[in-house]
Amino acid sequence: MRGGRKALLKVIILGDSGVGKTSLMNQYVNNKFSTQYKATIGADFLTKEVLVEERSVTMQIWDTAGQERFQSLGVAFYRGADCCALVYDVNNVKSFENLDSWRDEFLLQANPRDPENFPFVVIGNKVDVEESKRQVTQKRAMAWCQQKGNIPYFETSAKEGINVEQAFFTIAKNSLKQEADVELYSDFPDPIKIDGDTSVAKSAGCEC
Amino acid sequence: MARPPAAEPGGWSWSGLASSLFVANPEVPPLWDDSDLDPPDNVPNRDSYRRLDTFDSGASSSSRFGASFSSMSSPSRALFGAGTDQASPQRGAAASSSGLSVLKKQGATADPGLDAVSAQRLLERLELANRTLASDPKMIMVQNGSIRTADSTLQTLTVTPAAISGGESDDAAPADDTFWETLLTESDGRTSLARLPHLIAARIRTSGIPARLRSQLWLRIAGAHIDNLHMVYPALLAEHSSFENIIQRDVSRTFPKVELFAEQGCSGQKMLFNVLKAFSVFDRDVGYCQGLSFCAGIMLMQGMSEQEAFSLVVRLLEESSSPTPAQPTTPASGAPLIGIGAIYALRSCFLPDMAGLHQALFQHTELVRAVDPALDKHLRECGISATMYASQWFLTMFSYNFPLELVFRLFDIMLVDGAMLTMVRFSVAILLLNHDRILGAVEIESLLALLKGEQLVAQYRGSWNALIKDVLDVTPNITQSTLGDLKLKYLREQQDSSREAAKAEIQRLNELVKQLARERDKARGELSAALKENARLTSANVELKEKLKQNDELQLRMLKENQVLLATIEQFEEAKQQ
Repeated sequence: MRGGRKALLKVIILGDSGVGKTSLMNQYVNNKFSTQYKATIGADFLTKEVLVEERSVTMQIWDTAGQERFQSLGVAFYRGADCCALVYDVNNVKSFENLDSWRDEFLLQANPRDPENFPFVVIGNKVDVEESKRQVTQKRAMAWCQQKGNIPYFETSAKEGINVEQAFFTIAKNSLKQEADVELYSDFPDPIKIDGDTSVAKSAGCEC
Repeated sequence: MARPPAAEPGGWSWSGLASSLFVANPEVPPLWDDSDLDPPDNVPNRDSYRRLDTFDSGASSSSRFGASFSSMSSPSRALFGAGTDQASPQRGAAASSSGLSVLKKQGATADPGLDAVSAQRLLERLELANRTLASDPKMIMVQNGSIRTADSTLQTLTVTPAAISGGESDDAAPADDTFWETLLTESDGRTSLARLPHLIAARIRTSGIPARLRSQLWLRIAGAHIDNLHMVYPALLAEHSSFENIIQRDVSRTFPKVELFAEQGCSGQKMLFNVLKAFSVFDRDVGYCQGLSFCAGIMLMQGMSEQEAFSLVVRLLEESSSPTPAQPTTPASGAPLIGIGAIYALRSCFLPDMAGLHQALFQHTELVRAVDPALDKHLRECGISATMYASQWFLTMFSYNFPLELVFRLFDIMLVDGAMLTMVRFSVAILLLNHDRILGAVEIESLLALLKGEQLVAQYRGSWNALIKDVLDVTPNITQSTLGDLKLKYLREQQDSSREAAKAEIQRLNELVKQLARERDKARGELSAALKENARLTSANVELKEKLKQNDELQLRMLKENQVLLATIEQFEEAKQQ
């Protein structure tokens, strides 16, 4: 059933204001970096065609405003998301500490089927900045990711294009898996669905 | 270009309403009369005190604003049409065609080139025209769904030569400058501006404010030029604001392609930082909200000083006025149309819950659905909600992605017609005017790219007067009262949904109570079983105690017998020895 149809993956990028969400998206989609981006108001949006496991998919990437009060607009953007990238600035500890609230708020508003296993990816951006300015160690970030159910973690520089491709590739791969799972649910009649639910959840948990 | 069917001449059911309000209704009182022309002497001080006081107390009420603009919007739209301005001095210093150029602050009074006597004469004529327009509804007649005035004098005075020609640059002709400079002349300590709200509104809609006079006229029309805010400004700047970091990040991300703000750490960025920081201290509930930097940037681009831009931001957000406004007012509402006391009430858009923005998005969506159901359906089917494209429009006053000259032109109108009313009119109209293009796009990517803004107005490039005319022509049914009704509907729905939420919560709690009752019953059963067991054990205990007692008695008896026996043995032993 899903072999022929072109997949559309919806990806939401969240994180504090100024951590580099717009830059990451533009680096990934357009291979460009600019110091002249406007502050994102509301949300912005780009798409990219990618090949994942020999399957062509369209990634619909939503770049959102970082100020906390804009979360009240979130529900319009979060619904139907296949993956959520949580971005922080490795040189700004506050932006790391806020990942918890971004994750919680996302799960609350997006209301995914299986919140325990919804695919997140964490991105620590701006690793190009000199080491002495760094406020969040890789160890600390990875511990957080592990504690939240083994979230994949990437350290990137949107400015230099370091690791951006890899991070988004994982996003695409995990979104696709999420989408497949959702399709799986809708194919089963009700009584079986419950069984399917647990087995899929388990396998997703192991692979992560 | 596509027009929704409802926009065809005569197609609006609204035109009937318009005529009853503004033509047939003899009850409509004059907005102004001679006795109102002389305000109390202490206008500025009272007003300034009021404004600071209002903001400090945090009180908010936008109800008065609601009625005030609705009663002016339509008659003053009457003044479209061709004509020539008679008072056209040949002045070389035509307004710059670029609104982006940073203009030096203009003097507070008229250009010295304008003869004082002729300015006074012109002003008298304008006042007469304004009064006529305001007080005699019969002057206005409805033609083909748009309202026109029959008075040729009025037309001569209010219509610019270049109006609505389309294709040419829209910038106001030099003749226009004379009109505005006349209005900037002061007599009795007031600018003439505030005496002519209707003429000004009409003039602004047809041809806008000349770029080089914008900063002064914006301040005066909004009533931001006289207040004590500039006195508290240095104190506000000296205080710490918890928003300094985010403001600092945003100033370099506000109009990064506009020269004034382009360079990292340039004076434009510093001014912007100061204005926003001062505001975040001034109104700590709003603090700083992303989007405000663009609004303040629009003002600084006109060549305003920091203090002036700050005052204008305060005025635009301000929600309530004093109970006794110092200016002539509309009898219906008590709020002045122009100048000190006019209310723009954008504050709620920028508060942490962004309630005003949510409300505006609701109003926009409902209006699009009502006027162009096919377009609304198409957008919904493509998964697009107003939040996705119009939040940006409202929070930056369209400056995020629309051409800035158009943004300035809209800002002119916001100041005389009401800020939110103008923004919603434009947001709805720009969709209606692009009906075919929007319905022609089916991919969410191309639709959202189109809805960013620039592409929506591309066909009007440079002819902003023509665009504004079309916008007003397709939105005659959007008035303050329409928005007021939709606001009520929105609040009702909010209430309903919170009632639903409350119901669900009550149900949840009821379930919980039932469950607790079940647990209690179970516990009771267990308790009674335990009690029974206890009773059984107690009685067994009594029995045992009884046995124990008997046992003790027996033991005692045996002890005694034992003693008797021992005594007997002793006696027997003694007898034997003897």
